[in-house]
Amino acid sequence: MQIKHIILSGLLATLFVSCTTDIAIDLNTVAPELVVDGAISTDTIVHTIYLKKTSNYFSNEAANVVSGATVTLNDGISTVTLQEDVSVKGAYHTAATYFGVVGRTYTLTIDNVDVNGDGEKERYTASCPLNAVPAIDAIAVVKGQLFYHDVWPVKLWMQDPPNVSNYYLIREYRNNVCVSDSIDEWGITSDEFFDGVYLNNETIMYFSSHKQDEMLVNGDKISLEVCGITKDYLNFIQEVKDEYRGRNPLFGGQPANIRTNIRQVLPTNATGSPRGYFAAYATSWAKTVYRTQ
Amino acid sequence: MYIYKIIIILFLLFFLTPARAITSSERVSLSGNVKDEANGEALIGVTILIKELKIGASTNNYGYYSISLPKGTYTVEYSYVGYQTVSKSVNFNTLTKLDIELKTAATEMQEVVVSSQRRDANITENTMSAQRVSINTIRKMPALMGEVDLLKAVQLLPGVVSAGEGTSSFSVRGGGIDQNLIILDEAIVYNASHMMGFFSVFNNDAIKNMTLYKGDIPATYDGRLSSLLEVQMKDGNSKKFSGSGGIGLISSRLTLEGPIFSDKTSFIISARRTYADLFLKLSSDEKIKNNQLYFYDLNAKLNHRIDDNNRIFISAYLGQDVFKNKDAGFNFGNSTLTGRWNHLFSQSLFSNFSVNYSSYNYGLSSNLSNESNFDWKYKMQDISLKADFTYFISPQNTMKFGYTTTLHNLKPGTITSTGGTTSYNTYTLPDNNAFEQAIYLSDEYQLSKRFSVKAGLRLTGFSSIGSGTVYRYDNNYNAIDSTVYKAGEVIKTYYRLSPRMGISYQLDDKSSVKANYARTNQFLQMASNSTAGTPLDLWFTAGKNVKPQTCDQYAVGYFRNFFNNALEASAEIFYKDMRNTIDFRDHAQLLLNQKLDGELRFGKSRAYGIEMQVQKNIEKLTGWISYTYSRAERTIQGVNNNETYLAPYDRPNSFYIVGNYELNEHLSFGANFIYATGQPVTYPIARMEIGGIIVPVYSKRNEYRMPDYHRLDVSLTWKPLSKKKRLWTGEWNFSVYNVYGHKNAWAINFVDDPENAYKTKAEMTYLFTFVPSITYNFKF
Repeated sequence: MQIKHIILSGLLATLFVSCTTDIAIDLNTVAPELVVDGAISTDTIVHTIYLKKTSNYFSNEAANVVSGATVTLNDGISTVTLQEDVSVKGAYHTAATYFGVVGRTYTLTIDNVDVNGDGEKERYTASCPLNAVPAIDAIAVVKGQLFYHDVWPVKLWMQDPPNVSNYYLIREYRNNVCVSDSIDEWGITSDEFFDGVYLNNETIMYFSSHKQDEMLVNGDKISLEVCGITKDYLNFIQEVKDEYRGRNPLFGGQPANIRTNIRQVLPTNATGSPRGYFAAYATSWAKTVYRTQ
Repeated sequence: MYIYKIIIILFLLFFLTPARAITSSERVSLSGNVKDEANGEALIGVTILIKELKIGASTNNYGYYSISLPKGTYTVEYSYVGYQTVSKSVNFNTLTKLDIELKTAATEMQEVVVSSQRRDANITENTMSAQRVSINTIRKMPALMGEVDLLKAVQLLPGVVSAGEGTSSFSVRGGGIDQNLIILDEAIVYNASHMMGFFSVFNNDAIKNMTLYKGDIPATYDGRLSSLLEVQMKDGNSKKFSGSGGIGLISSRLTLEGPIFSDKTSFIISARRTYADLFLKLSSDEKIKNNQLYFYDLNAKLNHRIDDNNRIFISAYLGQDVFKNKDAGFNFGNSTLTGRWNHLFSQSLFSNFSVNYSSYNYGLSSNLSNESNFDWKYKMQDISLKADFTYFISPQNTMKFGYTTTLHNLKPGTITSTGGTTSYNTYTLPDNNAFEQAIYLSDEYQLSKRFSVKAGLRLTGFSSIGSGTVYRYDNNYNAIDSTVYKAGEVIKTYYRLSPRMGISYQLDDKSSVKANYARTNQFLQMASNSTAGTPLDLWFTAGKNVKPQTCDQYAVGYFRNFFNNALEASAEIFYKDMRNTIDFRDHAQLLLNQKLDGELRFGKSRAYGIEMQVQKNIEKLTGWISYTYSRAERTIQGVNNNETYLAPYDRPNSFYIVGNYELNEHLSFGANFIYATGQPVTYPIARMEIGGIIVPVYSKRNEYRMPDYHRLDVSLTWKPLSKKKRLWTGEWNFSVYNVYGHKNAWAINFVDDPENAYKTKAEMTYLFTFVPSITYNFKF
């Protein structure tokens, strides 16, 4: 629940006076594994799947990409092949006319790769159903304060479908540029606390004065993207945030690997495991212009 | 079948006695109460010895003792650490009641201990794995921020490790932090921490005695696998009105005690509050000015001696922690209330009846303007009735038996929303209720001068009852459906036996060998993902989806005293085999989860080790040195690919030195040195880029270790000489925590290097280095 996390981190910030220092640690290494990162939405645009490899923890350079793979996408009716980008290796695109359909299950298959370099060809697959999302009635942006700093809450008017468990991914855009572009900035919530409720002028996300690109000025065009995701994908995103944020003995859990829906099909006796997520979701958009009062 | 064997053995022991003992007409009972001469406090654990017969006994938790012996003239000796031994020559021809008052030894420090004294209770008593630390010892120890703390002292005992820097939580013999039963005057304390664990809920000024049982837990208690920490409050000075207190950097405390009308009734009230937040109000920074950050606690007790055979006590504890700022607030606290009645049916049959209430609660709320605000309240409460009897059958035979019944009510919470324009539903987590009953019987029998044996059996019936909602889960831990239970409806009942057995063999005057077996069961545990314990921890009970945890502990020890009992040494080996161990799935969601049972994973665990200690309790230099080697591991279905991993409290080597030196009447020095192997931890072995950030890929659970922990604390206590006679006496305590400023890792995180796009590094967070403090303590 978004609010709960904000409150807890705000409270902790006022309590803790601790110090940090860098420490040298020797870590083991393992053979590279496949990392899949991409999603299909209901928008009619180019959808991209990125294939990369894991690297040693202190490798300190960009990850290696997986180039030359055969990537296909099936929606239960037909199959398309994704084309690798000519200049950005490891990025595989659909056609610009492709769009996802609510209710279908999307399966991604990756062939013709040898990620761990042992000479044996590997095959991976991942599946995700495409869930619906309600339409957004309206959004508005105002100015406010949260834990003593300036924020611009984005207010939402939307009906949550009753008797269905909905999981939402939310991103905000300022002048058509996504400011919640990295996964730790994505908003996620489930309707556990508001199933069937009409969200009426409810704060769903914040633009924060702590970030340069989020400091709004009069006339900024604001868009909100709300996606209907699966519960598993929401848990994936939450786990990525937890692992990225770090932990302390009071409020952290045990470190553990982030879940994945990527499966290795061949070879059958593989020892490593693939990582990342392939998602499918429906998207709703809304726009407004920010005006200072 | 096995139960019957135990019962038969106990009955045989019972019936053997008359054949060996002298007939009752030739036997007398010597009984009475032993008190502190200065304030009338009942003294717990005083050793009474009939020198000619070499029969001994000790006072119970209420200062009462009883020995049955043949008629004659004997010398009776009463001895207790820190007090002058009293020797009386008595002619016993009838039932004899002998109440004794002991003087503290502090005023007679120059004298060397007389050689006829026996301070060898650790050798002769058929108890092992128990540590009693006197409150005076704790008071002189160096302390974090000047707050002398009972639980911090417990963390310095062999076999115990702290769960983390600054926290009050501790692990005993590799067990979890929720496996310690903490009892204050017979009521359970669920969360014994203030301020995230930096301070415990025990105000030293109100406490009389503390005993930690690491194994060999008496049959009178059950419910936690690893230890029993029994804390007794003072009864209150029955001789004159007095008080004590202290002013420190973080908090201040005041205790008032005294008799009411006569020495039959006495009271004690202790209060303590932190005031760091009062200084915050001086700040001009708005962020800081309106924050509230404090804790307070209050201990109160009233006791009344109706007549020689009846005494009643009422004790209460109340504490709260409050954190609040403009937008959010958080509070938590404990309260306990107990009423007890000691009744002597005869000099040989002592009984105690009590009614106990304890509760633990917390609340989290948000207060943002123009927003929907939420308010979450969590509460758990216990109410129990206990009847405990001790029957002093003969000089060789003491029997204890009793009955307890408890009702547990856990309300994980209701979240309500206020303000704002969206009308949120109220989110309720189902209640968790349970009803528990237990009976126990234990007997301690001195078979010969050297050989003593004890056996005990406790039978507990634990029922998870409604009102409540129980979910059913499939093999993938997904909730399938749920059943709603009405209030009082039984959901699931478990019966568990806890047998206990111990033998003690005295090799000679100075040494003994002991062995012990105990089975303990745990029906309530904490759902906590963190290693240190947090105020938001919630407790849950055994029930339809959760079996009670069980532990079988075996221990063997060798005890030897040197230099005429001035030095006590011991070495103990233990092995614990635990079943139905509970752990949580990776990334478990424990807070606000209606389907909490689906986050649990079960398996088994074990722990073993050796504890060695040398202790000196008399003369100018006192303290102890201990070394413990201890291992603990778990194998849980659904965690770490079902492979065995190190338990969070596997700390192979821990070494503690605790010392206090009384230079003269006015000056004493204290020092603690702690060294412990670092906690097991999970580190990354690779990394991946996803969604524009870099995240770790981890090794198997707990494959690595944090850096070793060590620090040195020192303190100086100065009691200034005063030429005038003053109304009060005072002393200054100067303390430095972590003198050489070793940066002890509190958490290690793997983070992005802010300067370099693709660079990551390991960053260690540490809390306290070189923290000096001053406290002024006074007494009147």
